[in-house]
Amino acid sequence: MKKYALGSLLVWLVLLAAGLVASFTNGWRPVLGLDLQGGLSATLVPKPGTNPPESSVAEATNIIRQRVDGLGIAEPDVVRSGKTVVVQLPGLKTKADQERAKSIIGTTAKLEFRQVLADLGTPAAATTGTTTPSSPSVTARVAPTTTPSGSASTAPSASSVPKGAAPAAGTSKPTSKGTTDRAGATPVAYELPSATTVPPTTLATGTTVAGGKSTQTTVPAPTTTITQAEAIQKMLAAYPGSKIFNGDGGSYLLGPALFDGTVLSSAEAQLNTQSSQWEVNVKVKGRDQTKVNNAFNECYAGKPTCPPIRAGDTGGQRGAIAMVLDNKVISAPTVNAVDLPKNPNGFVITGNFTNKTASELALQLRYGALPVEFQPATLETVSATLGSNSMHAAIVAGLIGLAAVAIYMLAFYRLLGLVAIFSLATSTGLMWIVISYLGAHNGLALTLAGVTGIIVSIGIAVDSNVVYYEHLREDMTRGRTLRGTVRPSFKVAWSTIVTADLVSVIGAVILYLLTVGPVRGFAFYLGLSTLTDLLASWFFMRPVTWWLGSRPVFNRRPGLLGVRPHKIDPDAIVRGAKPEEVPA
Amino acid sequence: MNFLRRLYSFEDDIDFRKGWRVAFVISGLLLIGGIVALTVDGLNLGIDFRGGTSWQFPAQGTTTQQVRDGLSTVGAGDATIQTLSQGRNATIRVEVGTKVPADKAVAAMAKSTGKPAEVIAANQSQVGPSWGKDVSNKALRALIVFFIAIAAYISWRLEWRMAVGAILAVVHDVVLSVAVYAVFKFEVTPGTVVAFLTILGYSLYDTIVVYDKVKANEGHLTLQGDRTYTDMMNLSLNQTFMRSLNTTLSTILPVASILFIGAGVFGAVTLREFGLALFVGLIFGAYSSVFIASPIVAFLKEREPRNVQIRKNVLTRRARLAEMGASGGSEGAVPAGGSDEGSVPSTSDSDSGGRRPTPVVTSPYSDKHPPRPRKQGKKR
Repeated sequence: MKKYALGSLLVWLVLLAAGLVASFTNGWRPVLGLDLQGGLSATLVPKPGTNPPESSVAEATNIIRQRVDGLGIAEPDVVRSGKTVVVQLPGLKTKADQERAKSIIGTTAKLEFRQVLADLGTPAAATTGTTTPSSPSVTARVAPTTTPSGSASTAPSASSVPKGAAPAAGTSKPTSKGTTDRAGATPVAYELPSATTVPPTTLATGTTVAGGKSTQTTVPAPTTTITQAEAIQKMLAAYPGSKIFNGDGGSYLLGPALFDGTVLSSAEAQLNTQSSQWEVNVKVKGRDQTKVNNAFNECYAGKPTCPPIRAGDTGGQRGAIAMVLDNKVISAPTVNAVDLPKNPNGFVITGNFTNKTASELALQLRYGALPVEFQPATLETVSATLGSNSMHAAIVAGLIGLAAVAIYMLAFYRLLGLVAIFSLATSTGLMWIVISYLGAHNGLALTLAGVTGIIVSIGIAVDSNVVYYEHLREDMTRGRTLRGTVRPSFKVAWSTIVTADLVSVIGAVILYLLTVGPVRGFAFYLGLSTLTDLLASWFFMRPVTWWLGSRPVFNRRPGLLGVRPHKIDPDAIVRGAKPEEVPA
Repeated sequence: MNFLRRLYSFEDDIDFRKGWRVAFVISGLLLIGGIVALTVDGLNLGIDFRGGTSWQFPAQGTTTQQVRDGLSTVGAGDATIQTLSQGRNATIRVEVGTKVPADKAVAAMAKSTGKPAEVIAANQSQVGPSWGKDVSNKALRALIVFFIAIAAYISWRLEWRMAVGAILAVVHDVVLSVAVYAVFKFEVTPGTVVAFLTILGYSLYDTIVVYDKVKANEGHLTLQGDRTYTDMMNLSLNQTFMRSLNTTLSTILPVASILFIGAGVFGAVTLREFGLALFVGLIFGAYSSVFIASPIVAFLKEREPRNVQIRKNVLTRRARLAEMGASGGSEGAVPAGGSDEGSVPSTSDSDSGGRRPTPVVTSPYSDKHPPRPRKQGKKR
C-alpha cells in the first residue's frame, strides 16, 4: 500500500465521497449568479415629497451597493436608474429568503439618533404586571413641578461628574425609595426633568457605552405617584418634538432627532477578547464628532434633555441615546462614556450580544446611513440576464467541449489519458463540494465570470498530467524502465506543476483581496480550481500512475499507457550547424 | 498529420528561430495598429461602464426573444433583457448601452414586438454605470500589484530575465486582445474584463511551461558543448511543443465549443463576443510564449558572459568543422560530437543510404550533424 501511495488515494476518495454525500443530503447546491438564474429585484424610489439631487441618489447607490455586498449575497447588481435604485439579488427563490431580503433592503429609511427621555418598557408587560426579566424597568423620573435651583442636589449622577461642572438642574433630584418591580401594574413614580438646560460638562474619557436592555433593579422613589400614562402625557407636554417610539430595542419616549446616520463612517461587530463579549464598534466621521460628543455628554451627565434612566457601568444613573431606524428603535444603549475617544472617533456598544445580533445591529447602523430616504421597496422576481437560451447553449457547448478534450486525451495518452480524465473528475468533484457549501452558507454565487475561471482551469488541470507523462516518456527514452521512472519523474514533474500553478494562485489571491465584483468572483474560482488541481495531482494522479506503472503488463507494453519512448533521443535534436544570429 | 506525428516522436523538429524574426515584425505591426486603433477609436464601453438607457414595459404578448431580435437589427443584440414578475403582472426590462441611440432602439423594439412605441418608451430612464471609477481604480491597482508579485516570483524561482520576458509577453497578449475589441468595436463589459484576466493568467502559465524546460536544460550547457544558449532554447521549445499543444488544445477546445457551437449554432449572442475574446486571447497566449517570451530571454541571456563564451566556442568549432568538411573531411576530425559526456555520435540516416544502421542514441548529449560529405566513388 505504501509503495504506491495508495493510502493517500484512499483518503482522497473517501473524503470526496463523504463530501458529496454530505452535500447531497444537506441539499447544498451551487448558487447561480444573477446572469445565470435570475432572482429578486428590489426597486427603491425616494419618498414622495422629498426630491433629492441626483448626486445624493448616486451616493446612496454606492452605499447600498456596499451594504448589499456585506449581506453575503454574492454578486448582487445595484444600478441607479434616474432617481430610483434597482437592486437585483440572485437566487432567493424561497419565500423566506425573499422576506429576509425585503426586510433588509426595504428598510432603507434614515437612521436617527435621539436622546431617550423615558424608558417605557414593553406595553404588554405593563398591564399584566408580571415580572419579565427582559423588559426594562421604568426608569424615568418625574421631577416635581417646582424647579429646583442648581443646587447640589445629591443625585448620584451629578456627584459622579468628575470635572464638577454645575450639576444639571432637576435631573438629579433623588427620590425616596420606590418600588422595584419591572413595568408592573404597581404604579411607579416618575420624575419629569425640568426644562432648564445646563451647558454640557466635559467628563473623563475611557469608559464605554453600555447597550442592550437595562437590568436596572432600583427605581428612584417618586415624589408623587402617578400612572405611567399620565407621566407620559406630562413628558410629551414638557418636550415639544418628543415622540414615543417602539421597536426591537424597546419602547421609549424620545426627544427630537439630533443627527442621522450619515455621521457614522463605519460599524463593525467584533469580539472583545478581554470580556469575551460581542460588541459593535462604531466610528464617527471627524467633522461630526463635536455634535455627537455633545449629545452623548448630555446623556452621560443626565441633562434634562437626556435624563438618567439606567445605572451606568461606573455607577450612577446615566441617560441613553436611542438609534431609530425607519421609525423603529433598534437599540437604546446607556451612555457610559464621556467624550468619544479622538482617535479613532467612535464608540462601542456592548450588551448581551451574540455574533448574529451584533452583526445585524452593525449592518443596520451602516445601512441606515443613506443620504436619501427611500420608501419601502417593491419586490419582483427577475429572469436571468444572460437569457435562458444562452444558459442552455453554454451548458451544451461546454459539455461538447469537455467531451472533445476527453477524446483527445484518450487518443493521445490511452489509458493514462483515462487517468487524466478521472483526475479531472475528482478535482471537479471537490470544487462542486466547496462551491455548494459556500453557496449554501456564505452566499457564494457562480456567475459567468466564475464559469470562465473554471473552463480555463480544465486546460491547466490536464496539463498537470501531461507534464508528468511527457517526463515519463523522456526518461524511458534515456533507458529507464517505466517502473523505475514513475517516482523520480513525479518529483521533477511536481516541481514544474507547483511552479506554474503558484502563478495562478498568486494572481488569484491578489485579485481577490484587491478587487470587487465579477473580477473577485473570477479570482476565487481560478484560485479554487488551481488548488483542487494540485490536490488531485498529488492524491489521485500520483498513486494511480505509480500503481499502473508497476504492473508488468504495462511495462511490457507501455504503449497501452500512451507513454512509448521516443525513437530518437529528444536531446539529440538540434540544428546548430550553421552559425545563426542572435534573434532581433 | 504525418508531420505532427513525426514531430511528436522527435523524428522531426521545428526551427523556431526562423520564426522569431517574422514574429517580431508581425507582432510589432499588430501592436502598432492596435494602439492606433485604441487611441483613435477607443473602446466601445458597455452599459456597465458608461451607463445607458433602460425601458420597462408590460410583457403580455411579447417574448424576450422578440425583443432581442428587434434590437439585433440595430446592433444591440447583446442588450440585457429581463422579465420581471410580481404575481400575475410581468414586465420586460431592457438595458442598452450608449452605442445605440435610444429612439432607434425603441423603434426597433416596437417593430419586432408589435407594441406601440409610446408604450415601450413610457418608462424610459437613464441608467448609471454600475462599474464606477472606484472599481476600475481598484482593479488597476490590483493588476499592478499582481505584476510586481509575479515578477518577484519568477525572478526567485527562475530568473529575472525570464520575468522580463514573461511580463512583456503577457502585456503583448493583453494589448492585442484589447485592440481586437477596439478594431471590431465589440462591447466591453465586466465579463470582457474577466476574459482579459483569463488570457493574462493563461499566457503566463504557458510561458512558464516553456521557461521551466529551458531552465532545466540550461544546466546542461557547457563551455565544451556544441550548443549555444539559443540552440538550447530551440531544443527546449521543441521538447515542450507537444506539451504546449496539448495544454493549449485542452483549454481552447471548450472555449471554441462555446464560441462556435454555443454562439454559432445556438445563436446565443451574449456568448459570442465573450467567447471570441477568450478564443483569440488564448491563441495569442500560446503564440507569445514561443515567439515573444522565448526570444526575449534568449536575447538577454546571450549577453551573459558565460553564454558569450559558449557561443564563441561553438562557432569556432563549427567553423573548423566546415573547413574540414570542405577539404574532404578526414575521419580523424571527429566532429565535436560530444559534450563532455563522451557520447556516441550518431550519423544522419538520410544520406548514408542504409550503409550504416541508425543506432538509437542512448546518451542525452550527442548531436545530429549534417551529413559529412563523402569522397566520390570511394567505397567503404
